Amino acid sequence: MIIERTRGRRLSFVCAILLCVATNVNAESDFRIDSATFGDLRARAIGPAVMSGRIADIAGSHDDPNLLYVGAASGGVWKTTTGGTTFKPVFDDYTQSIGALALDQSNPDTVWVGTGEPWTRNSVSIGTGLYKSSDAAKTWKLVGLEDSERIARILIHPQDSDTVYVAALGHLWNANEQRGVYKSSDGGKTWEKVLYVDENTGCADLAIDPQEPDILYAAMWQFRRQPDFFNSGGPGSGLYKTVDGGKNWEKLGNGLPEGDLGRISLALSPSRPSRIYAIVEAEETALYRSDDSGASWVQTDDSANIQSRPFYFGRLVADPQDHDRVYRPAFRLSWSRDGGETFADSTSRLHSDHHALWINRNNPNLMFLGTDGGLYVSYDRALTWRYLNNLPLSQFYQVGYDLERPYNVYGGLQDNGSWMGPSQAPGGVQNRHWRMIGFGDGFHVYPEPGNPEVVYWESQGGNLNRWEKSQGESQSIRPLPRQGEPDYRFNWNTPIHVSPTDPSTVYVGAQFLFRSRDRGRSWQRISDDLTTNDPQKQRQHESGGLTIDNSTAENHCTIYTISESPRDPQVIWVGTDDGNLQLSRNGGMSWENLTDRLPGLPPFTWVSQVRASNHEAGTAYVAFDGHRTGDMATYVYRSDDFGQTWQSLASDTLEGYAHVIRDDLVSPDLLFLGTEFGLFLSTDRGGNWARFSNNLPKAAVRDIAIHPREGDLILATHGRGIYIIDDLTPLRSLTAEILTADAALLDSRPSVIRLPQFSVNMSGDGNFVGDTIPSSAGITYFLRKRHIFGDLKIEVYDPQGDLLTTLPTSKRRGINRVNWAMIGKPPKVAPSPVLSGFAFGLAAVEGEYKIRLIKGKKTYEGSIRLQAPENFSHSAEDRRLRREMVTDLYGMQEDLAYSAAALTSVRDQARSRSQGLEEGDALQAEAQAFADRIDALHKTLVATRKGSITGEVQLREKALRLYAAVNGYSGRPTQSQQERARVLQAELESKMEEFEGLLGEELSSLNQRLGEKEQEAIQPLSREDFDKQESGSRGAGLPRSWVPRVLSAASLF
Amino acid sequence: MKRISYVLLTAFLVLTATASAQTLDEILAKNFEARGGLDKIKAVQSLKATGTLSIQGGMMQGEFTMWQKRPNKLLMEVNVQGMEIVQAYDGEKTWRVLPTALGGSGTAEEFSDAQAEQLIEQADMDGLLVDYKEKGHQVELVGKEDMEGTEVYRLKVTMASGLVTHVFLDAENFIELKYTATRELPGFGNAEVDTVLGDYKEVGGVMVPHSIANKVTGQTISELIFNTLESNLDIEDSKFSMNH
Repeated sequence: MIIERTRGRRLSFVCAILLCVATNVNAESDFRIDSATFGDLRARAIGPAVMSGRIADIAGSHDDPNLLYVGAASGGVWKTTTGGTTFKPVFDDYTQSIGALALDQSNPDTVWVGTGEPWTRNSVSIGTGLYKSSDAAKTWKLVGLEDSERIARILIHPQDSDTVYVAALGHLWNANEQRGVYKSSDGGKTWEKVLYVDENTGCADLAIDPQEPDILYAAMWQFRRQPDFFNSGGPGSGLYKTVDGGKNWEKLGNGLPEGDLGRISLALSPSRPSRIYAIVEAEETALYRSDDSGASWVQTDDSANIQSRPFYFGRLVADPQDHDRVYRPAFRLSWSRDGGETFADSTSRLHSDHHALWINRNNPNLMFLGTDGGLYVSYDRALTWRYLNNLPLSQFYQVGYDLERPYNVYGGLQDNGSWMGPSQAPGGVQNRHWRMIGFGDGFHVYPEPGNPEVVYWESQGGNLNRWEKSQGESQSIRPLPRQGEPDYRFNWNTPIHVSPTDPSTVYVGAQFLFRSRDRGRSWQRISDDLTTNDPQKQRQHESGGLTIDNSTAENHCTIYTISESPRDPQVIWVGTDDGNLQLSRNGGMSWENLTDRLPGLPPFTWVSQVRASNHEAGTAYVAFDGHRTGDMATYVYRSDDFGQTWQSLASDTLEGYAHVIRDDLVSPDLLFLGTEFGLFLSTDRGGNWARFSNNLPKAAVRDIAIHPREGDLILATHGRGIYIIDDLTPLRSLTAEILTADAALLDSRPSVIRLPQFSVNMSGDGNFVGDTIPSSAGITYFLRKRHIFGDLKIEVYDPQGDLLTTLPTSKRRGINRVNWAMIGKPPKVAPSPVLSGFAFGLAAVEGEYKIRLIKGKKTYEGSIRLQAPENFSHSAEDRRLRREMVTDLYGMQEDLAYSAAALTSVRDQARSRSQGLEEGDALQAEAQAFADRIDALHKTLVATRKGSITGEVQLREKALRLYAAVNGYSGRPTQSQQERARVLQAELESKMEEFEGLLGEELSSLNQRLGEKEQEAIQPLSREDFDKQESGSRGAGLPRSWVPRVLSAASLF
Repeated sequence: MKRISYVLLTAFLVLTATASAQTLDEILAKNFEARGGLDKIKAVQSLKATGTLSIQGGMMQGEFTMWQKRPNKLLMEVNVQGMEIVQAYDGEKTWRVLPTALGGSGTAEEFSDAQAEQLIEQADMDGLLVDYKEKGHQVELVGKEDMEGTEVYRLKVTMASGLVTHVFLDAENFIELKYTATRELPGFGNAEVDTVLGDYKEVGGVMVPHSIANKVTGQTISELIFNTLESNLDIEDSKFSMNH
């Protein structure tokens, strides 16, 4: 139909038939949702940036110290042009896992991004290739290495911007061939693999000689991760050198350790390129130095920070000007001033675990440090550091909420503990609003439903705690093995599950499932070992390869996810990291392993989340994640028969391995799916999916919660903090019927009427401020196509059915949202140089407001509901009294405004008549005297002295202050205010009498004599005419700071 | 049967291919046609519009009146909560009346900043695309893309002044849906400014948008609705001059 309407006119019969075919295709596809369907619905970021997240690489301009790019481990690329005061994300539409960045120093508009973090910890994400921007990070182009999975280094030839070398690390969990050293000589159009060892070995680091750029050094690394094991090192590892731009390579030795090597970190001194440093992971990991361009090596330091976790800390950075000075960002930051012989640690208060250090070549005192907890800057060569808390890179795992008003969000973060923070705050959620609850690596954090005094949190490997908020204490409630039991195996990210049916019941999983009815004070084991208990997969004590690294990150054969059915507490689902999906239908008395019932699922695939349906006891959703074996497919399933049969819900639209799938609390058709590459929604129980990307970067969505009272979708992203999609009501009403209608009004949750709230933020521009919810009411509607021709308006009617306002509309395809401020016009206020009080309009009253959507000739009707905040303590009587008083005071302002306007107009006319009369005429003096008396009266109504802080107070100022005071509080006005209102009212009445006297008899007698002298009569402004003047001076004393900003932008059109 | 569907398919592919491979000139021709035709567009000598201005969901509301006269005179009066703002271009210079509360002098004064540039751009009666070569602009067809779920053609206009504005035309109706430009704005810095056009209605045979939303870095700042729009009124030149 779409095609017919536009092109049909001139088409022949044959074409018309063709178009019918096309029309049918189109008609079918009209039922499908896509990303545009979500229209104006936006995800809102609340951060936080207080703990930030892991930084993988940093690249700055040496010539412009204000220009710097930061690559996050899982939070994209951020750009500052203000030396770090402010940052903007510039890579939100692409893979958020960043490996390496390169800024072309001779052409700073050219930026390279290698995706896929090279710091290969258990929770590391994946990349999708190499990207290039030629316009200072505005637009990006994928230029190759799509299968490299992770990129460790990008080097641009210092004299030829088109020659670029890339260290491709390659796949972490399986073998692949796209790894090694790649070279492009044409700016990224084509790539040649110039160094390759084998399918298990990638390039971990590269260094180029800035004086002879055909000389390069490459650190090759053999490594592999499995779900239960990590290995660093092997015969593939080694240090290589080329002197002809990569054509030929020589393996270096002569002083380097014998036997298998692991990861090697390289640093070449730019001021003396024959000086090369290398930390070589081996049986005895140590720092080596060469002073002859790699021909021979001597071992220097082997202190703890040099040796620490070579797979995770892979950087060594030479001072750009002092060849004896070299930095080791690792567990801590240490540096040597004597050519690597000895190292001293930085004593500053820095987050541990460092991965990136960038030093300005022209000013080596200026450096930026990237850690597991964000970015620091030093101006004094690493002696002191300033933390930049404006990068919201927080890496959440799971997310919880409470039922406070506003509700709080809870979550655990990679290497950054457990936190809680408000879902909204006046002016936006800021870092200072967040509170740390627990330490270590954080994962599941949940308050007891209805009792936020009790919060469960944990650190890695099952260290489960119960925090008692008012005590400020946590008790360890980790279940401990009893007589005759084996050790309990807890996952790195141990599942805690609070029962949806009984708030004091909590579950935790090791290889056994435990349940506590008393908040963890005692535990009941309610299962046997639910895992495969395969001894081959329990080798964490040997994990790490050349450097043993047993941090509990490789604990395996453990329970990973638990879900009690909200419909039936006897129904409990459990998923394990080794691929078992288990169900009990009798509260844990017996279990059934359902693993082989899932069609198309490879065996032993990690169960990332199982979720009992909110609607049917027999329905469950489950997500599987095979990425730790190199299987990146999206596995999602639904069963409606207690797991006996399963339907795959996967589709081509989906991208990324799956972390979480769940149904809505209200609509059983509405599903949410979080994958490593974002959020996907379905409105038909998984039949078809669409990516939700409105303001949501392509970050990993690790967990999804739905707030039961607010209907908000709360997203835990691993790298970009918490996002909230406010009010799912419009999505819940997206039925097939609506999706095929031309237009439809959609439901929204009731809007809460709040007085304007103020917040003051004078902390400068360097702090993260999250988005907050609009204080306006949302009116939502659906358009099947963009509206272009004819009117599209929204009319709002008050509960009495009178038209209140007509609103401009959004016109896009999909869901549109129009905001209505829920506030009436501010009163007209008499003009005065004095600014006093905030004369806002009257807030709308509670009730049902009819909405009419007018689209061309068609009208659609619906309604919105306005309600008072639920925790309001003001009685109906108090609120009625307040409203009456505000209305009276509003009227008083308008009366005053009218009086002032009428007086000044009569005064000015009288003065003008007086001037028109002959000198010495008695009437001239009389008219002048009349004008003076009018002016005198006006001066008692309105402050008229010039200057905005004269302190002059007349009736207008008194009444305005009282209006603002009473209108600024929702409850009963004080006794004093009530009395004051009567006093001012009496004063106004007496002034009005005077006013009427002057403009009545006195004026008509003056006019009569003016007439005798053939002078035009003085015309007083009538109230009727005044009320028609819409452009009167409304709302005196608006906050001055934001008016110019908004108006100056608004007047641009 | 198979053969027929193959033929149909091929024909359809050819058809869609021709339909989509548009040149810049074809697109511009269709745009002018969609707006009512070049004759009609050029027959408009003057415009007067009145309407309402809504800021931040009606937190503030006001009225505006706009006068425009060929070839490039423009005057806008905005009244928001008692504050009168005038911005005008008389064909040679830009001037304004900005209240002291907004940082102006309260009297008519010349000004030249990014807003002045925008005003001059706006003063072109026929829009950026008509006679663009004669005006010294360059227009480039960037391509077809998605804009909020609607297919559009993106045209990049490099104006004689050197400023760049992107114009988005509906791929089906060829009418302007949006302008996007990066401009320096007080309080915002260098920001992406979107002007979203809608509610097209015919005025004097020309399709004219009756709703305009201004967005800065994606956030709606203000929305204008035109209540009246009249063309070819007799407007004195002096209306646009600073000392009238």
